[in-house]
Amino acid sequence: MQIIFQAFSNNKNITVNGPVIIINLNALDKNQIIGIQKIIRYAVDKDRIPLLQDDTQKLLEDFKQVDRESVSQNLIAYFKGKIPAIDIEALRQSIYVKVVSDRGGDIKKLKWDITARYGNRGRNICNLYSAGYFTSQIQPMYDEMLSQSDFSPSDFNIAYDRIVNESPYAVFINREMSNQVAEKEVRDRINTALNYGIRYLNIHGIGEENVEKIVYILEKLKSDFPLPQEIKRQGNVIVVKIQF
Amino acid sequence: MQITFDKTAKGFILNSFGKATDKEGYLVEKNNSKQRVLTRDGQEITEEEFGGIIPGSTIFVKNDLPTVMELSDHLKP
Repeated sequence: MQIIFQAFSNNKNITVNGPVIIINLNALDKNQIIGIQKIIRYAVDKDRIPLLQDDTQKLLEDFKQVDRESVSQNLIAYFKGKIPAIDIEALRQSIYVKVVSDRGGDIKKLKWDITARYGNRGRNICNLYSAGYFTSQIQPMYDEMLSQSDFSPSDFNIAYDRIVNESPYAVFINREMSNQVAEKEVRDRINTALNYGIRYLNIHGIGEENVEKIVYILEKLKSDFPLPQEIKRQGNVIVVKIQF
Repeated sequence: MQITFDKTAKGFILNSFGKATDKEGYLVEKNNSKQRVLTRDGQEITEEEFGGIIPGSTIFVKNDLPTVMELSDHLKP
């Protein structure tokens, strides 16, 4: 059974529609209002029934359904213990945001909610997940680092933090990109960064093929951007910070 | 059983639990308008943000995604 409280101006005080009872508060007299107030206080305090706004209830039910699905469960199970608990929260919500977005729903408020609670880090996690980088970059990066004999979780933490904190200033080189496409992608990102007064870019790559691609790009960029590059390489994981 | 309310009934729900709204739109105690209502994590809450009340010392919650995720973890199905 579901009881919904509304305050409309029509004169019907109670509408019953199957298991749903709609109570129009505007049509109740003072004594009935006092009685209803006692009942809902009792329901929350003694019967421990949540009293939620309809929008909140709908969002809760939809979130629960998405959160239970295997895509969400598997990804969260993978990252639990590998990234901070607060990021797990932001990631669970980011998965939901992506599902709503894929359905064509409005995600403006949802993304705002994540940013309001978790700051820029939350917003970056949301954008990274939405762009597929948790599965295409971060997960393979962990697996690759783990396969190294000198693996230390703190190495992953540093690399992960850099991706999350600096993702607006990052470009990810992937297998599908040719050398020329990858170079163009980096040059385009540099031009965009320069337009907004940003003076650096992190280039990420995983796997020997992508590492070679980044070496090619650096060689190509050398004459245009002679400033020192910061290169961090662990096995087949490479991050290059270029300044310009 | 599920009990919900829509936006038109927010004032009634708040009043039922001894709350009111101050000039800036924040929820306050009806008998002490200087005392703003706090969420479980200590945040003040506006009437616009108010998403409901959950059991356990009558906890006021926001209608936002992080709160909904917490509710999904803590409320029984």
